Amino acid sequence: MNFTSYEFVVFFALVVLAKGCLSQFNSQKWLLLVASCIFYLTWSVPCLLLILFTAISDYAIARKMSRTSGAGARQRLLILSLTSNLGLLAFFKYANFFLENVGAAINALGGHIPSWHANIILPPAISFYTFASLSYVLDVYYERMPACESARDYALFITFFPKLLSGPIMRARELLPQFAARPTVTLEDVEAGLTYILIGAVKKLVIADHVASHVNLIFGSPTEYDGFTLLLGAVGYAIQIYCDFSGYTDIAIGCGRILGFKFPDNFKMPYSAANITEFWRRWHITLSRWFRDYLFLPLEIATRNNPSALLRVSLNMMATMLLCGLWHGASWTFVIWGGVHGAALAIHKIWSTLNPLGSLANKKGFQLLWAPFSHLLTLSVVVFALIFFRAQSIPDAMVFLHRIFTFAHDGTRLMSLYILSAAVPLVLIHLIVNKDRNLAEELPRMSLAPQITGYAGLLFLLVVLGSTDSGAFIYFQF
Amino acid sequence: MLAPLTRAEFVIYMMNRRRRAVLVLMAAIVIASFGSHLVVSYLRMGGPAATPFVIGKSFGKPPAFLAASSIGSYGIAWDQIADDIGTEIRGWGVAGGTPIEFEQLQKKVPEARTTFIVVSTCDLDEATSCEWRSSIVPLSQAFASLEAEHADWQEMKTVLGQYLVKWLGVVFPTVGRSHVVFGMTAMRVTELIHYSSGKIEGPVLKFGKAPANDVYVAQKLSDWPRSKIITKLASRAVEFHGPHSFDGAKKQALGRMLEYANQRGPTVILVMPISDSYTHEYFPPKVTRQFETTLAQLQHSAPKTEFLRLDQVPGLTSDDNFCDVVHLNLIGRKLATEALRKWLKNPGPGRQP
Repeated sequence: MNFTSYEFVVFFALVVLAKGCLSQFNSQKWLLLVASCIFYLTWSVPCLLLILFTAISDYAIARKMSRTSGAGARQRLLILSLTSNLGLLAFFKYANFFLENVGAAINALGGHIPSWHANIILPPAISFYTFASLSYVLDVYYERMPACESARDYALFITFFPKLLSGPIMRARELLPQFAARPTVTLEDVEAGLTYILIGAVKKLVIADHVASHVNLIFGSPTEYDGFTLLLGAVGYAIQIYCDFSGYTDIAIGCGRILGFKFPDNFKMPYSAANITEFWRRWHITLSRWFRDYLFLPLEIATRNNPSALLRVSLNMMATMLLCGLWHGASWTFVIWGGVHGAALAIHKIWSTLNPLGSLANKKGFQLLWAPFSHLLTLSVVVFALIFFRAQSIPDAMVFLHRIFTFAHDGTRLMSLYILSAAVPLVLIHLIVNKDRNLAEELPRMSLAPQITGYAGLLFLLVVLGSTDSGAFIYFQF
Repeated sequence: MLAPLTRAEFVIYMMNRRRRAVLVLMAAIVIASFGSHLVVSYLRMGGPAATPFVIGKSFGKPPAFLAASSIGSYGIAWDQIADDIGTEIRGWGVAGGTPIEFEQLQKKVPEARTTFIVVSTCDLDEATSCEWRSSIVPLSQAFASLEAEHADWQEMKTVLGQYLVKWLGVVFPTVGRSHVVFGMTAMRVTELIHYSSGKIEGPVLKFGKAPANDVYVAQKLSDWPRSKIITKLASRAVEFHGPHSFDGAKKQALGRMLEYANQRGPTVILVMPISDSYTHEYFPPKVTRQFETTLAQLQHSAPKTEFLRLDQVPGLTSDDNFCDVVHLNLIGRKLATEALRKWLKNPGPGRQP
């Protein structure tokens, strides 16, 4: 059930109505749990057992952990949870990747074995709910939060349908307290929720889906197009993935808000970032903070004895981003994407620490030149990395890049109006609008005339340019 | 410090808040609706779902019925055919029309004896649907067809979604037509840039003689730059809502049309050619074989029907004979019409174009 499908609109309306008819908060939570299970069932029937197993086992482990005082016993329970969660993720998501690479390595060493491939289905959202559950167990282990008393509440935290398929990856200590106290859904919440949904629908149906048609053409046959068209295609993909993913997140936040629950922001105009570090504070925020808190910082602590702080931080950043890339998909292209970002983050860290141009920082002329340069450099790194993210294979990505960097003239020049007409307003918005503003929160609080103008404008875009043959959201595949 | 509101004052404040929210919602809908109607008007996207036409003169004989989309209207000079068969040809022009829509319109000409049905790989492709379907086919008939073909949930959603879009279209006539908006906007911009006559370029339904100043049908697809062909093919791709196949609702509707037509008189299916560029992009040999299988099954189920394979006229599928990826140009039209006229002059079964 896609967020932009007719059946989801009906499903969500029914859930809201049914919730409104129930006076007891416990009954409402049972309703939401059942609705979330039904939502997941529309994607995969057998995998519902898997997600419920993850929820129940981590609930039980955390409860046992909170009642256990011995450090050794607590550690063993943590290892049990980590093994179970990561083991399931590794099996369902990475088994074939592992088999293929082992087979290729053996063949490269002179062996002759056929390629191995197991028929393993990928449970929808496994990457997302595994991380959500892991963060809960780790928080309980480090005593950052008490164990959840209610199995229903914990199961609901894991399976909650607005955020289930592609996040935001919420911490248990963000959502479970909201399940503990009955939320008051005000008119402001409903307005904000509907605004989020409207903005998300515009991003997905007006921009992402139309741009996707030409991006798919270009990435499908890179040798057929000239270098400029490939560059346009890469920019188009950057537009598509941002609008697709942030559009999904907006709809998820909006649905959660209407149901009375607040989700954290996942995107804050990332293409306005002045450097790559800032980019990762604005792009897929919940994922980057997960990796920061549960991988990067523990790595920093574990390697704190390294005398060279810069080297230590750089290596830990690289390791974190490589795993971040692998989290996205079982393919070396994702790992390279992560590696590019890891290298960029490390370089920025070294640059910021050494600050070679520090003496010029206060000069106005330097600031005027440096600001656009740093923005452009950041965007270039992001678009460059996205080529690997989107390409089907490393050779495809290399062909793509080669044709861009050699300004290949052979091939068709496709001046995609979809990509260009999406790029221009996006650039203007990123130039004009303050990057820390949140239109979805501000619009319901504006005075009457700007409010009507804003909503009318968004609705106009949706009904005139919105696609009704919407494809699945990109991040559903992860 | 402000005094706290009394209960009555607070209730009044909340009521005003609710009224304000409703006011904002209604105003946004009205403005967006107005804008949507304005876009339709400016881009000339409006018009009836089906435009009736009469070609030729009756000479007191029962008319012939023609079921054809723009592929048929561009591809044949029907005025010459009407002269040849000595009676008028009636029908409805439906942009992107398929047998699903023409089955409903066929019954509006019960006096017709001869029936011409124009099909092509494009028309029978189940991956596309006519945007006017919900305006022509009653909802009850749509349900019956879905049940008859044991449609899956995806197919049901696609078909029934069109009816929802149709009802929404009363308020927002651009809903579900974003690809048309993009296409017409591009044409309008081209018009403004080139200061053209004010007519929208592109395939429009005109049954009869091609107007002398219709520059669109005079062009050749083979003269297009590759980027234009790719863009055009891509714009068609966004309309696909499933895999290319020829064994679904359109085939069943065509079968019913043939059964109805055979009871009244001679029935001819004209299989029109599609450009090599389009076929090469979307119809690999495996898919083309499915098309042949469908035609063979229809031939078997309606043996009285005569099939004229204009798509097999040597050289007719060349891009030289097309003004865009699916419509024949003046040259192609002349070749196809000559083939049909020659075929009509040869009596008896087994005649070849």
